[in-house]
Amino acid sequence: MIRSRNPRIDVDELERRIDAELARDPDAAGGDERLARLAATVHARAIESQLNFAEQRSTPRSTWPVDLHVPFISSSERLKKALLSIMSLAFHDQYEANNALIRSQREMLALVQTLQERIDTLESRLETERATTRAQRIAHRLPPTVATAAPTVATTASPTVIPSPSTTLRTGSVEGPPPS
Amino acid sequence: MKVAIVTPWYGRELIGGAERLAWELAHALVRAGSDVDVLTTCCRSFLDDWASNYHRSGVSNDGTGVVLRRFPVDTRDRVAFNRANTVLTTMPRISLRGDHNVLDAVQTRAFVNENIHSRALQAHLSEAGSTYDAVIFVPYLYGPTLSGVPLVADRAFLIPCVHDEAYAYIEPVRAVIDAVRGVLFNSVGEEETATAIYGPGLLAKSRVIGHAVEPVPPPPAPIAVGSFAPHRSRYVLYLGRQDSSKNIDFLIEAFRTFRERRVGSSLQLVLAGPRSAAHSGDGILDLGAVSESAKAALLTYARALAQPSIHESFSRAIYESWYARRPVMVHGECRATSRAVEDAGGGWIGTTLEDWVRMFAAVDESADEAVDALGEHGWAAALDNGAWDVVARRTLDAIAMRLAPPAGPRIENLVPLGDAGIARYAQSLTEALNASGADAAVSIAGSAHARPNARTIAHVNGASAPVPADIYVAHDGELPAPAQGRPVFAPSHGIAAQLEEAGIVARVLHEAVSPAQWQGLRPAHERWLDGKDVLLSIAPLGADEARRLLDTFVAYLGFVRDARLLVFSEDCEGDAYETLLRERAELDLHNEVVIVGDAPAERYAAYRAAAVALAVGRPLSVASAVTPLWFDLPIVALGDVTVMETIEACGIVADTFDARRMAALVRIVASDARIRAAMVGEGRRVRMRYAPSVVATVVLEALGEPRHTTQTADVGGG
Repeated sequence: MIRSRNPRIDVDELERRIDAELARDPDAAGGDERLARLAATVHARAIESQLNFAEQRSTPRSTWPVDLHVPFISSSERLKKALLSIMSLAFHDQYEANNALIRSQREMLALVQTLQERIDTLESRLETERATTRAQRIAHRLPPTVATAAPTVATTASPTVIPSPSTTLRTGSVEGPPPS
Repeated sequence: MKVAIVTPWYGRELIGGAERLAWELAHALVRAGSDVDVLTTCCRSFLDDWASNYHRSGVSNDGTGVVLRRFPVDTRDRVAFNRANTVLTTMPRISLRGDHNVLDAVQTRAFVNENIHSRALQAHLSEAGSTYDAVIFVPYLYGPTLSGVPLVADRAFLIPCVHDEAYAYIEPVRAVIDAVRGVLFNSVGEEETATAIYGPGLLAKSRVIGHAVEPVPPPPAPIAVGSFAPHRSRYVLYLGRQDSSKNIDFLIEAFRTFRERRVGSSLQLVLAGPRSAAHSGDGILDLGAVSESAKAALLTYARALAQPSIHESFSRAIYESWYARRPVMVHGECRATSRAVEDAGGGWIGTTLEDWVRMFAAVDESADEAVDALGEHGWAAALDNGAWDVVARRTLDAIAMRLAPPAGPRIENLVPLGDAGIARYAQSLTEALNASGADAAVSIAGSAHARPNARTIAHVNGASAPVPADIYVAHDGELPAPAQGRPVFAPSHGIAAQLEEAGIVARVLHEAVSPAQWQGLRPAHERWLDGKDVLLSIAPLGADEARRLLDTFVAYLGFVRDARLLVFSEDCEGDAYETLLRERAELDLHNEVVIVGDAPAERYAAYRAAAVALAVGRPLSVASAVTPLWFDLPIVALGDVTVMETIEACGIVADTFDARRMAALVRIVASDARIRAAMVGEGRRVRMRYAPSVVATVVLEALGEPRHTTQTADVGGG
């Protein structure tokens, strides 16, 4: 909810534009992994702060709001206490339901964070394995002298490698077809 | 008052804007009772050879009281000057940024040294400069001003006639702006342009004096201009020099596009003014230079006037049109004209070609009554603008206020012991009063240091001991008994409301926040002017708020990958600082999140580089909330008490924190020119409530020491 007393700003239109901006899925962050991870972190924090807010408000009220003025009631402490007790009783089930929902959301959040960590672990393991595999492939495909040579060296030592300007070999970072 | 006007070319016959201004102002100042010397060169005009002496040197009096002193011009290296001038005139607008210097040292030297100069004029200023009370330089970019100002800086006033052009960004011009005692502007829009270039410190010594335009009387009977009968035609009028620097090509292109889309339209575009080659096209009529009577007829019967130029500090044509009750179309990139139209409601503002096509359509299709109504608004603004005698009076007032404000009363601000907030408020009030001529000081209530025979302002809170005073400022909604019957002020609307509930009527006296602290400052560096979106945090932070700020910034990075967050070091101390550094490291945001040092030049650089001010921390001080407004920054904030009183009136306030929504909002504010303009425009109005001169005037009036009504643009020092 935003507001402004600036007569030249249409707050409703601005709210719609914010929704539209968010609908463009900024979390995707144009495929930038670092930003995607940052965005996920912010998301999790936002959920957590909303849950904290909900938790603060989910307990029955024990004091009368200072800015709530109700004729007759505001001037009597007894009436105020009685009314608060009635409210607490009437909304007892609702409080229970709210608390259960908050707990379940917390569990869900913990689960998401665990999954996120597992994804991170798997990603890094995958990356390590991929790098190892690549290194092994290179070692298998190239004679030892070439494997450590300057990147632009073309070779005819192995009949399966056809170097070209676009597939010039770089030690440790070859992106090419697997050896036949 | 003895006044000198220094201008490179002078004469009744000269038609340039600055030349006419110098002539009219000189005579108006004489009529206002001043002794006026005009110090100028023997060069004939801007269009002549600047090293050629056409007029005879010496002193003459034209019979009106203006003493004219002409001095011979010096020889110069035209080639070197033209080389530097070409660099400036062909510079892309994108290079023109705030504090960025646009010309290298060699070319800057060539531009200044090989400009029009008169060593004799400089010698006169050196010898006789101190005999004048004030020396007014018109305009800013020629030799007599660039080399003359340093000789009489303590009494130098500049009427710059500046618009957003490359000349305004060169270092010697900045030095002149820094050096002069006061700057006098033709229009509010011109002042806004200058503030954007030179920073808000300028506002502490500037004033808008206006620029008068005499109405063009309508012809007694319809007349024809050649074969063209204005009274029988529907046309938009362009009035003035027809050259590309006036954006005439853009106007013609827009009109052609309009006619292509509305083939059946009878609306014409009539061009009147000197030109090198005639323009033609469907519906375009080029009359060339016209007589005064033809000009009057063209203005009287036009449907509207078009002023497409983006290089104006003031447009006479607009006011001539408004005197004829005709609305105007102006370009949104020219602050002087667009601000005038915006304030008056006397026409249309458009920036893109499409905007202009739409404006032509509006002129064509709107009912006559609607067009006439806009013209009436313009007419009211033209009348309000006043004649040259009014401009002369404003000029003399502005000069007098800067040289020696009228001596005010001795005032003692009595503050309770141990309340830093009240002490800060009282100190800012003291500085504001002193800048307005009073002799004010702060002392602890009940101490022996209070000066005798002083008027007293008691700053009180609930714990204050009763103290007799002339004025009371209640800082927490409670007042001691002696306040009965005395004027009572509250520092905010919230406290004024509390007092009202207790049956005490209090006026709001805002804390003074002066732009004067930024006067003469240059940014510490240009590192933050690399094209990235810069968000500036303006709220004090705790650990939680620091995390919240980073969350918002990270979400912002989701929208804009190249962005930077600046945080003032004084806003994040202790836990907040550690949290900020730790989280910055965890999130790998070393390059994006920058802690700004306490040095004034560093803070100045941050304010100047920022695109949006962001407040998602603890409650703001009034100074933190208002300072960004002096830098024309739009503010997005989480709601708190100060925010509701300051920022909500111009900026945008979020009730609850949601990092992604906040980031999306900041993104919109940073990228949408229309919303930015709306926020900055209102911000300019809001900040004036905190201007020292406004605050001081309220207090002095309450003390029975009336002052001249403070002009919107007169901010005062501090």
